[in-house]
Order: sequence, then C-alpha cells, then structure tokens
Amino acid sequence: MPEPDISDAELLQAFTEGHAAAFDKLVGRYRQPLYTWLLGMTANRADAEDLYQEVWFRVIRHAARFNDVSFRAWLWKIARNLLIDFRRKRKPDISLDAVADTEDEPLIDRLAASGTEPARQVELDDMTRRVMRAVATLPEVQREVFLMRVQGDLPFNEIAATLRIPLNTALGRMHDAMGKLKKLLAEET
Amino acid sequence: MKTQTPFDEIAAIDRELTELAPRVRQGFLCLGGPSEQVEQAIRDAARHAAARTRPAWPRYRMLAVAASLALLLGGAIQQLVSQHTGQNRPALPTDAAADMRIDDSTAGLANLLLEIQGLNEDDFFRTEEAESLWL
Repeated sequence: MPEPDISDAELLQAFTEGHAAAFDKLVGRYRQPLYTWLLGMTANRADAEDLYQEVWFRVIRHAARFNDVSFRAWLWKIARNLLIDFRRKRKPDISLDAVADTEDEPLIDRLAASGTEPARQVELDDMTRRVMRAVATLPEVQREVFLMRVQGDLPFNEIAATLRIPLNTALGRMHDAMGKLKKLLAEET
Repeated sequence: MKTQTPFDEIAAIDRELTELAPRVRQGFLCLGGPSEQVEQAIRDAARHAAARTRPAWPRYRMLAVAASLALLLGGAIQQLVSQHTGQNRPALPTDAAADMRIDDSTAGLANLLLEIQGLNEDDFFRTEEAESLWL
C-alpha cells in the first residue's frame, strides 16, 4: 500500500535531488499494476519485462521534466507510448487466449505455468481463470481501458487523458468491456 | 427518463467492478512480477542517475571551505597592508643586533665619563681589593 504521507510527485522530486531510495519506493508502488498491465497488453512475459524496464528507464531520464498533475497518469502515458512503438516495430498483438502453434495450450495458461511463484499457481482457481480468459478475449481498445482501471487503478478522467480520448469514449469502452465480460462468464456457467 | 451523467456512469461501473476486479487482480498476481534481473537493472540505473545529480559535497562542507578561504585571503591582505605601512612589523634579527651595539657603546661612554670624573665604582672596588692584596 502506498504511504499516504509521501506523494508520488514528492518521491520523484527527492529522486531528482539525488535520493535513489525514493525511486525504489516509487517503483515498489507501481511494480505489480504496471507490469501486469503490460503483461495483459502484450501477452508475453519477455516483452512485458522489456517494456517495464524501458518505462522506468524513461522515468529516470525524464524525472526532472515531470510536470503532470498525476504521476500515475504520466507513467501510463509513457508505458502506452512505448507499447505503441513496440507494436510498430514488432509483431501484431497476440491474444492472451490465443493458442500457440506448437503447444495446444492458451497463452494465459502458459504464462501461469511459467510464473516465478509456483505456490501461487494453485491459487488460480477456476473462476479466476475464467475471468482472465474472458479479459483476454476483449478487443484491445476495451482491454486497455479495463486493465488501466482495474490494474492501474487510474480514474476515468486520467484514462481519457492518457489515451487522448473524451471521457465519454473511455466510459463507453469500459461499459462495453464489462458487458462482454458478463456475457462471456454467463455463457460458461 | 432521467439522463445519466458521466458521474452516474462511473459510479455504476465501479459498483459492477467490485465483484470482478478482485478476481482479475488475483489472476494477474498469480502470474508473478518482473524478474529480479530487471528489477536490479532499474535499481542500478536509478542509483547511477541519483549519484550524478547529488552534490559531491554537502552544503555545510562547502560553507566551511568558503569560510577557510575567506580567512586565508583576509590574512594575506592584512600581511600585505602591514608590510606597506610598516605597522606591526616584527623585529628582525639584524635590528636586534644593532640595538645591542648601541647599548654597548652607550655603556662604554658612561664608564669613560665616570673614570674621568673618578667616580667609576668598578675601579673603586677593584682598588679596594688591590689594596688588601698589596698589604
């Protein structure tokens, strides 16, 4: 949980003044949400790790220039821009639920199987697995908004600003994503 | 029918998410986090960048150095001024010797004058001693 007494902007300011520990704290706050958002968008652990590392390198390089209202929104803006660049250079998006040519197993299961914490694989119960599969089938524009809200905990106005879309469009995408998820989960039961 | 505002819609979405969001978070949590290698690379980059931006010496040390330099400069100026004006100039060894010579010549002159007048006490005592020996 983030400490309420020190804001993200204050930690970043401390880092620009030479306090590396402040940056470690900042990374700790966004490690899981940022990484899993990237994982959800790339469906590839290696790509997600590369992008995750590059996002933080960019934050380090441009820390002194930060002047956004929200550090979180700035972070996701960097992450999304890098993701767009990455997609332009590399392959098209692969769904988390796509079946690989060589292995008859959805990517979501392979990701879980190659997880760094084997003890947690047991915790991935059927319901969670179904939800994850349903999320993986969402169109990218909907998945992006859905994961920004759920994983990144970004408010809708920040999601809209990050994606450079009107607030109503962001809400519409989220609404569509939720409708699709409910339908998919209802079909499976 | 009442028009739904974005605020109402956000509230409705968040209500629906209360059941779904924990499942999604749990699922992604099970997939683990970034590798230790990546985390270490980020930490190293941050340390490196922080070391570049941190001032080499703390501010109080800079102040102490500035004060020492000011003192040294002040002392040098004082020395120069003293040499120019001749004030507070320390007595040189050659001057001391000259003073001693002046003292010696003054004492010799005084003795000579006393002898001329027959008032030289040194000679008087010597005479007394010579007398006793002579007797």
